[in-house]
Amino acid sequence: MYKVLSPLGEPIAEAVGAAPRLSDLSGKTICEVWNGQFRGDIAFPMLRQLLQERYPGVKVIPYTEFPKTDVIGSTKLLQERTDTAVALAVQRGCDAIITGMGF
Amino acid sequence: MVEKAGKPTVGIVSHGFETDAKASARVFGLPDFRFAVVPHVLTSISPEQIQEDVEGAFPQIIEALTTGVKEADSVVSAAVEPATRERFIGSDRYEAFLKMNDAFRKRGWTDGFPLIPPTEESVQRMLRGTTLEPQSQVSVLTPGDGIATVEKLAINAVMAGCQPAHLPILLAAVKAIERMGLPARRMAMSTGPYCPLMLLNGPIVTELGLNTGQCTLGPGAQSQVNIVLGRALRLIMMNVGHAYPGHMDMDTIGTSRKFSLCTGEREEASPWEPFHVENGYPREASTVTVFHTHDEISINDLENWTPEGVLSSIAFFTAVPEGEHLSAKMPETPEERFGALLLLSPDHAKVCGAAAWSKKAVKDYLWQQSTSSAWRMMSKWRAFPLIVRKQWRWLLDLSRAELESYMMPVLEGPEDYSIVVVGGSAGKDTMFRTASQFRIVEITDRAPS
Repeated sequence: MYKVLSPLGEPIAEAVGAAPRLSDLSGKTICEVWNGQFRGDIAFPMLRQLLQERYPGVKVIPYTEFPKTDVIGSTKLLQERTDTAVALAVQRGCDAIITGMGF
Repeated sequence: MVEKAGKPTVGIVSHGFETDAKASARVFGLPDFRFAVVPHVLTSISPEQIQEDVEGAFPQIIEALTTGVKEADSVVSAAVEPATRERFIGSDRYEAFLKMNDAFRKRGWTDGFPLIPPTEESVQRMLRGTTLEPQSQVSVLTPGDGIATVEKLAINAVMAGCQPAHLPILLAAVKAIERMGLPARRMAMSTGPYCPLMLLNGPIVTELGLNTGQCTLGPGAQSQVNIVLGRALRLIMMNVGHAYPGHMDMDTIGTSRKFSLCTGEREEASPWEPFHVENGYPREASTVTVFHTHDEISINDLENWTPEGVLSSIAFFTAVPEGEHLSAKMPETPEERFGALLLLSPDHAKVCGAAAWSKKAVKDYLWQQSTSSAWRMMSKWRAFPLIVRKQWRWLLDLSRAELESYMMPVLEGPEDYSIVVVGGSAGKDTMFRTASQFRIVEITDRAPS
């Protein structure tokens, strides 16, 4: 018989729930936040066009107006970029975010 | 993070990365994160295929932004379980050993080789290797942000086959990984075969019997200490950092370097001061340095006997024209730049030392000689011009003939090379490309032997 100890490190994160969803995207402001990966430069404009074709009055703020949230650079830099993206999303009146690519 | 600010968010995830997305969301404290899945990784495919994939995923994107969070989306992988003690009973100890290994394997807690049972007694014995308390927090390990207590590191060290005297090395190594910052996250979870290499310097190398000579990075009895240390670090990255293959470690092909990669400098065979002294530590200090390795290139030159000859060969072998520093994706700060770790054979080091070449002179020469055409350096970035750094955009305006005739160093500067003398006698070296600057930490908190 062996009595053994678990090797797992406990995660530090505290979980929170997801934000309330929207009833409809028409007339809403959608923001794009890109992590710099997997050809978001091609995919986001395609998504933008689909949104604008199908949802009247939708406004899309492109990823080029947000800092890239890629996993490159220092932790401090990522935090700064993320904080900036969040602040901009609030400031620009974003109702919802589309983020990617990858992961 | 934006979702935490109250904005409904949808992520676009490539097929195959779903478990990674869920695990990452859990790490960031958002287990209900919603995402849409595109059927391909959106790389190496045409814009037409990307269009098809994006259109296919569009309904999922809309659904994720407009419908309630479903219970099924809250699945968290079984990789995270509370730390517990459990019993494995068999008709004899061997059967109990097999049952424990089978259970750990099914949970993904192994590198694939049999594990030494981390019993209370064996862990207590391991903990005697350090003066720190078992519940002391050493670091938080990426990518799963698992809390690395001394006890957790000791448990994994037992499983790897380490001795108590090895534990302080692992404590220092995880500190080094934490100090690496964001590149450590890439090292743990990239689709590329990144992995840490541990280098030991100082008196501890001989005290613990590390193999710094023949086949230092290979198998065999002479490398047993190297092997179990490297193995323990991998198990720690998996079980404490939660970097499980296919879960948060998204390496597409993998590498045998991930099983174990640990060596010590053969300081007595080097014409230069030891690596840790070069980096500001006293000679009598013992240190562990963690390198963020990308890949491995073997070098062979048994013919030359001058520094210029030897180093030119090394430079030619190692002139890999990936051109990462031309990309705006890559960090520009020196400590996070791509580089190279050269494990230089004592014979080649002797050639350089006999001619009174300093290590700096060697680095300068390697940097100047290790060149490639701009055409090759721009190979990836021609298809992605947006990502070329501003200072290199002028290359986009050149013709193919002009690019082919313009030679440039494959690394950004001579300071991006690290040189360590290791290995047996013969003109065989190894270079690891590195994807971040190394981090060096003094090994402390050792219990008196």
